[in-house]
Amino acid sequence: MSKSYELFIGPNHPGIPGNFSLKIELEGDTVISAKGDPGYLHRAFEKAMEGRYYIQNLALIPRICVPEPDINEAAYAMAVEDLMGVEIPERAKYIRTIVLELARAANYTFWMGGFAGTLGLYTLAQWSFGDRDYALDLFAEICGARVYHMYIWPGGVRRDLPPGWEDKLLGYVKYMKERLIDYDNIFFKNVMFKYRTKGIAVVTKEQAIEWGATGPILKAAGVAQDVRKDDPYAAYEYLDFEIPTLTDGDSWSRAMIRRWELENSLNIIEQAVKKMPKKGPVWEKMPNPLKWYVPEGETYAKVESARGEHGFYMVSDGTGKPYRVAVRGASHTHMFTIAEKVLIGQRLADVSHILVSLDVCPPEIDR
Amino acid sequence: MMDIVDKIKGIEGVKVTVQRENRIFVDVSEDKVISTLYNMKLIGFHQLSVQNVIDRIKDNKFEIFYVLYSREYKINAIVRTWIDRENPVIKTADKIYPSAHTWEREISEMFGIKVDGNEDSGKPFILENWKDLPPMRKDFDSVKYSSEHFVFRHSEGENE
Amino acid sequence: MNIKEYEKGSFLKPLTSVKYLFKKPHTLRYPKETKPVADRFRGLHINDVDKCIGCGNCRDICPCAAITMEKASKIGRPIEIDKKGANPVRPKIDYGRCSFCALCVEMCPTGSLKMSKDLIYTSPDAEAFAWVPLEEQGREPGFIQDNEITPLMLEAQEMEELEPEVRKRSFEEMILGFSEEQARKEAMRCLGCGICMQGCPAHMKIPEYIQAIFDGDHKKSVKYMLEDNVLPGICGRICTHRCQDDCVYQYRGAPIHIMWLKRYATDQLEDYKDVNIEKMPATGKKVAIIGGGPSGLSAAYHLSTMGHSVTIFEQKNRAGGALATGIPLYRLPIYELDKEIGNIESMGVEIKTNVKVGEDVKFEDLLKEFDAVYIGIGLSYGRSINLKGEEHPDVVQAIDFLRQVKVEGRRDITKHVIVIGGGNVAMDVARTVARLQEINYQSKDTTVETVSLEDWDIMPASQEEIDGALEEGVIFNPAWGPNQVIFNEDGSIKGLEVKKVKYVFDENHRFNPAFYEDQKKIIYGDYIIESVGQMYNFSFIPKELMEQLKFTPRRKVWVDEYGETSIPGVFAGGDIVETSKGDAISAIANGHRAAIGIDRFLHGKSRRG
Repeated sequence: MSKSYELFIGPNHPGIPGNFSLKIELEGDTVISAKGDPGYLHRAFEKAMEGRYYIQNLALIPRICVPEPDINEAAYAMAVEDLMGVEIPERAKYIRTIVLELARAANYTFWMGGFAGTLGLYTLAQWSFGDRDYALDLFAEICGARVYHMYIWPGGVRRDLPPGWEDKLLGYVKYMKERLIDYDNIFFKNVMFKYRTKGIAVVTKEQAIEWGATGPILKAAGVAQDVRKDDPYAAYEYLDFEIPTLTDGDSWSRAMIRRWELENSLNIIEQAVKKMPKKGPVWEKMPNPLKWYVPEGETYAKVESARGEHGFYMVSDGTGKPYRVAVRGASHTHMFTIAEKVLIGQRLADVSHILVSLDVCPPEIDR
Repeated sequence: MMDIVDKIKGIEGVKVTVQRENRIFVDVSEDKVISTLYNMKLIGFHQLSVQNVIDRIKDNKFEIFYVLYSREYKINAIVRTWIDRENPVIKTADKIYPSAHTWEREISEMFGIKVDGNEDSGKPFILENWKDLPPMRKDFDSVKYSSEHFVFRHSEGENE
Repeated sequence: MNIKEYEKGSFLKPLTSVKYLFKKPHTLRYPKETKPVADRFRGLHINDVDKCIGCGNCRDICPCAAITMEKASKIGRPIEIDKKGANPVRPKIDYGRCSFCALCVEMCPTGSLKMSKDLIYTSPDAEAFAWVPLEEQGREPGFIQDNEITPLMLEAQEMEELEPEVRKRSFEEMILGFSEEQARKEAMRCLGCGICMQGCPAHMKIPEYIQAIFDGDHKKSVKYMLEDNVLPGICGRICTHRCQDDCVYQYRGAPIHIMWLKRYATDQLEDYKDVNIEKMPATGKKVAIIGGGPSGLSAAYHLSTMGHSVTIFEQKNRAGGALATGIPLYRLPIYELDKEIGNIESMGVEIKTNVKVGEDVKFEDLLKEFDAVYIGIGLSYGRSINLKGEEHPDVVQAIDFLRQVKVEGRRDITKHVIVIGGGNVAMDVARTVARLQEINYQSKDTTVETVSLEDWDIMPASQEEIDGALEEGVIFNPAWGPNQVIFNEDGSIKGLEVKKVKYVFDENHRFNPAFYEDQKKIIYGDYIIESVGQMYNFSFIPKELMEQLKFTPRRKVWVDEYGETSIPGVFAGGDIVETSKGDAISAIANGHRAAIGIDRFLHGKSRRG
């Protein structure tokens, strides 16, 4: 009789952000192998984009990622602008930065709830989901939708900021900074959090580089790599911020990096609001959407998402529809190259929080 | 940046084009891809961001591209190669870039390209019980497929 | 951030959260309390169906194919269906598909479509989620259009033209035409909705030929044009462009310069050899066409493509009708006429010039010799207004004056000229006079004044003609009616006495001008050109046939839907029939229509056989 047994986690499981299944083999409660099984969220985005006008894809791309849709819009817009050789107006760059950071902050807030949930602390989950809603309200005021903003589009952004929005935004930043103290007290400084995550699922610096990790996983292992710094887009080159790093590369470090980045985002928002030109165009005029022929070429545009490098490889054949769009989500690598390896030897109770600490986002895999 | 371009030019059989700052295209022939990737990694391109395929159906070719990144030089290099559309086979790059393993699984499923050396190539990945043409190929008509496999709900409107 | 502090961990700190037991909750007591909805909220649609023109641009841009166009009868309330420049359909939105991206709102050229702040709708029936949005559904507007940031290209390309000072010095063509870049940009604006096609009397395939211009395929573009319009290059210069009046861009921006795009495409081709309609095998039937104006040329071209042999009888020394004799050179150069009439001749049409039907050949002979006859004589005689003193030799008709200048090379003019009339022909006359005065006197101490019954707001001339005339120094006297010509003692003209107009149209909207008899003034001038309309002359038709010819109440020739008159085998078109709006494009359109009618007749399908 075999000592090991198979267990499915997902496709519907609170420890999995989205519909995704994990097939693990266990001996007792120790994982001896883990295999990701994607496909539950496959909506053929890449294929669908080939059949639509450049502007029509605007309705499609944010849906690749629910918690942070704006990175897709930004990377898509940057790819189109790159192919067309368009430089966007200064104010639009700042607005994009603000929107992207607000989305990042909202995403990390959302993530905190999920992470605390997998460790059994649902109070934080309630708090952070509620606090994320204040960010969504801010989004609704600039673009008219809470989740799928479709706000960043090729050439700039879709509308100028409504009057008084900056003040509301700064109010949100202030509120979140105060709340962070509470988050620290209840969770990040909580010994239980430390006991559950310290030394769990270590990804060393060498492993992280070899496996192609990006974002918090790499930063937690001690490598300061961030697209915002290395290949600045939007207004990041004008702003002053640091890339946080820790050295241990364990679940705790990854969580702390995200906590740190959340604070970072709030600071960047404050700076950007201050430095942003108060007037000026927010959109570079684009051609009629039905005759929007993008010059022939190939390009790769990337942004830093909450999970790592997020990129769009775009190919145009000179017509009104993209010839090929390939989406690079950080989770693709994080799930199959990293999670499948680091899960081995871990206990069943830790699987969920390890996955969340790697922030595996299934839509980025399935697309 | 130019010194790194010169270094890449030193690799046998490559054609280098600088698209703009921090973006380099490295075109190689099919048989030299793996050695080029190996040399690129030695130069410092430690990260494979994305590997995928473009179906150049008019030229009857598949274009395989590898987007590489070097933190040291902060440069993206895109290695490209072209293979025949009939019986397409590529060699695996997962010994050089472990993350290539999954991208190759996806490629083999979405484009029907066989990947030599990758044991997962050809196994179902995202799709389930797929019996049609590989769906990301340009000659796969998704609208036709949908209309054959799914029931459409039409509202009554008149499309003149 | 001090990482040490976090590494330590604490048992007590989590307990601080107990304070939230005593704080107000963040949640709302729904439905008693509700949150204000964002001003730009993208919710269910609102559509002002009276403002909406059913152009279908919302449907074309919808990424989810959620929009279909519903017939007017099914939208749930009556709408004005025969509105000008509109389709009798309105968008119906399937909320099972809608993604609330608001691209339809951005692309709405009239601004009728909006999104509301309301997103709540429930029904157990899936079909109930598709409806035609109406204003009276009572939703509060949320996301709306913005003219600053819009994917529509609201601004038109500027057309370069000669400066007034320069263009006055000669009869050189004043509109310079689009450059390739301008034409592409202007063509790029087109949404392809085709609302303009309704406005065009010839129903040209405007979206298709603009798309071809955008693609840089000028041959394909002209090919599309020739299918409905045999004189595209001429129309590209002088057309009344009713299409542009219907262009959907008019509501939020400037209409597309459809006419100048047409001119651009034809200018790119030296001849139309490769793009003409393919000729059908010869039928052996013969058709005579009286009058070589636009309608005659149009009929001739289409008849010859249908395989019939066509002969045009033109009384002047060149074909073209009003195009050749009336329209001044600065608007329509001779080479363009030669190019397009030459193309019609290249199709095998025989044009006999200097042949006056009724004198050189008998009308009844034509009826015998030919299988069908088409009359397209136009209004080629000036109409007088029975002005007291108009028999003086220095009071002339516009049509004669324009012919003298264009065809006979007349270049003399007096220093002070009065033009009676406010239509486009009057503008042509006034602007021609301005040029002649500049050539003869460098405009020193010269005047050209127009007198029209109509005030500025109802002046029949097009705005661009009025603006052009003003720029060239023409003085307008709107809302004055001519009373009599005043003479000097030596018998030369001193001026024109005019009286103030009370109204032009009476309460029944009929042309019935009334004057203030006590308000009079004299406009000084020594030469008067009357430009108040033209008329036809049917003296070539023998009396007994004339009696058979039926006329409409407005004294136009009666024709059926195929252009056939009350005399079997005799067809008519152009300005002499009522369907014509008095411009070249209507003449071309009913010439084409008559060609189809004649073809049917020759194949024995005529109504009266």
